[in-house]
Amino acid sequence: MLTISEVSKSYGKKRVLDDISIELENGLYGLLAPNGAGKTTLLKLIVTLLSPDRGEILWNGAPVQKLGASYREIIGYLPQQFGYYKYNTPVQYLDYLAALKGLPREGLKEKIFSVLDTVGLSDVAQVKMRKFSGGMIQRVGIAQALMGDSRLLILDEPTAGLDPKERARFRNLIAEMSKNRIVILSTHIVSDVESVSGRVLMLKDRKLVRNQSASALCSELEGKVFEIRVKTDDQAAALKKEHFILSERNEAGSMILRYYSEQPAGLEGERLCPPNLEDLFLVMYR
Amino acid sequence: MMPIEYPVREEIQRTKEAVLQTALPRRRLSRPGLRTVFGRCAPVLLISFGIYLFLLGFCLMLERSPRSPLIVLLLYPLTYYSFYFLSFRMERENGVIELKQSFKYAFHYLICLRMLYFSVLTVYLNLLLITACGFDGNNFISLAAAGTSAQILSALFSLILYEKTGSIRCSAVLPAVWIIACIVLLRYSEHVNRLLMEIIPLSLHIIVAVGSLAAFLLYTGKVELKNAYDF
Repeated sequence: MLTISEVSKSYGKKRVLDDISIELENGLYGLLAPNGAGKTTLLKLIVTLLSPDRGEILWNGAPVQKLGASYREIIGYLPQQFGYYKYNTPVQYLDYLAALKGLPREGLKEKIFSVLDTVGLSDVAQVKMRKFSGGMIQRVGIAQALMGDSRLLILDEPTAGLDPKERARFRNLIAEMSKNRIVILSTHIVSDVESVSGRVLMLKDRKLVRNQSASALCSELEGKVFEIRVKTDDQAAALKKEHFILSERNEAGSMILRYYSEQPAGLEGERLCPPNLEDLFLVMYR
Repeated sequence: MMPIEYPVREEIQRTKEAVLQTALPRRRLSRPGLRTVFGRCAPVLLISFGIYLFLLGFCLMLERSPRSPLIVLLLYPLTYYSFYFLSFRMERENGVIELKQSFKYAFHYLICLRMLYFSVLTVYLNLLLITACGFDGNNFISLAAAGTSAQILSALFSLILYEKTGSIRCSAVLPAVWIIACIVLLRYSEHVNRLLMEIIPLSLHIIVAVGSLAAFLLYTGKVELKNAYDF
C-alpha cells in the first residue's frame, strides 16, 4: 500500500502541492488536473525524483526515502518526456534498461520480447528507434515500465502521441495490469481516465479535492447539465452570457449548446443530459 | 493540574526516523557491471580518447623546456573533463536522466562510478604524457603524483558540484579556473617547477595523490549508500 501523508512541495516561493493525503491500494487511479496543476510533481515525489518539503510517502508503512533502491526496484515509471537512444533497437534499449533496473539476465530476452509483444512492437523489435513515430516511442516507454516486478506503475501522460487504436489497446492493457498492482495514470485527457480509471484523483489549487470513482464524481452534476438547440447567433450569445457552456457543436444548420446550470433555465427545447467526467472537469476548473 | 508537554512535530519525526533506521533491513546491493556503468557511452569514450591522443601528440611535439611540467599538469585533467561533459551532454540530449534516476541503480550513482573508473583509467594513461615529455626518475613520480591529485580532485569536485546544484553548468567553472591558473602560472614556471620538483617532498606528493583517491572512493561509497538506502 502506498500512503501519501500530508505532503507539501514548493519550488522556491511557489507552492505546488499543499497537504496532500491519500492511501492507494492495488487498482487503477487516474490523476486528473489541468496542465501545471502539480500532477507531474506529485508523481515525481512518488518516484523519489523529488523529496517533499513536508509530510512523507510510505510504502507498506516504511518511508520511501529510507527504502532507497529496494523501493525503486518495484517502480515502473514512464516520465512525461520519455528519453531514448535513437540508434538503439527496442531490444537493445530494454536490455540496457533491464540492467539499470537490476533485473536478472536469466530469461531476460524472453521477457523483453514478451513486453514488446504486449505493446505491439514485436515486429519492429530489431529496428533502430530513430525510425519510430512518437506513438511507437511512447509504446517503448510503456514496455520499459512494465518490465520487472513493478508493483507500482506510474504513467505520466502515457497516451500522448498514441492514435485511437493504440489508446484503446493501452487502456485495456493497464486495466489488466491494475488487477495486482497500483497503477497511477496522470493525464489531462478526460476520456482516458473516464474509460479506465477505478478511482479519479483530482488536484485543484494545490490540494487533492476529489478521490472517487468516475460515476460518483459525475453524479455531482446530476440534474445540472443541459442541452439546447439554438438557431441564431444572438440566442447562442444570450445563453453564453447566462450559463457556463460545456460544449457546442453544429448539427443540421443549427447549434447545439451543452451547458451547466444549477437550475433549469426554463428555455424552450431545453433538455436535461446525463453528466460525464469532462463536464465535471470543465465545471471544476472553469 | 500538571501541564503535559507534548513533543513537537520535528521531534516525533526524528524519533520515528531513528526507529526506522534501525528497523529497516539493510540489503547490500551488488555493484553494477561495466556494461551497466558505461552503457551507450561508446561514442563519448571514442571522442574522449581522440582528445587524449591529440594531447599526447601535442606533448610529443613539445620540446623540453621549463614550461613542460606545467603544460603536462594543465593537460592532465582535460581528458577527464572532456569525457565528463560529453557524457552528461549525451544523457541530457537523449532525455534519459530522469528515467535513469528512477531505477535501482540511479543515475547519480552510475555517473559517479563511471567517472571513478574513467579517472583511474586516465591516471594510468596520463603517465604516457609525462613519459612523452621526457621526464624520468623522481621528477616523473612528482609530476605523476601532482597530476593524479589534480585529476582526481577535479573529478571529485565536479561530481560534488553536480550533486549540490543538479546541473553541470557550475562544474564548467572547474576546467576554466584550472586552465586560467595554469596559464597564469606559466609566467612563473621556474618557481613553480622548483616548488613541484624540489620544495614539495616526493612523499608529500604521493600522500596527496593517495589521499585524493581515498577521498574519491569514500565519496563513491557515500553515494552508493545513498542510492541503496536513501534518495
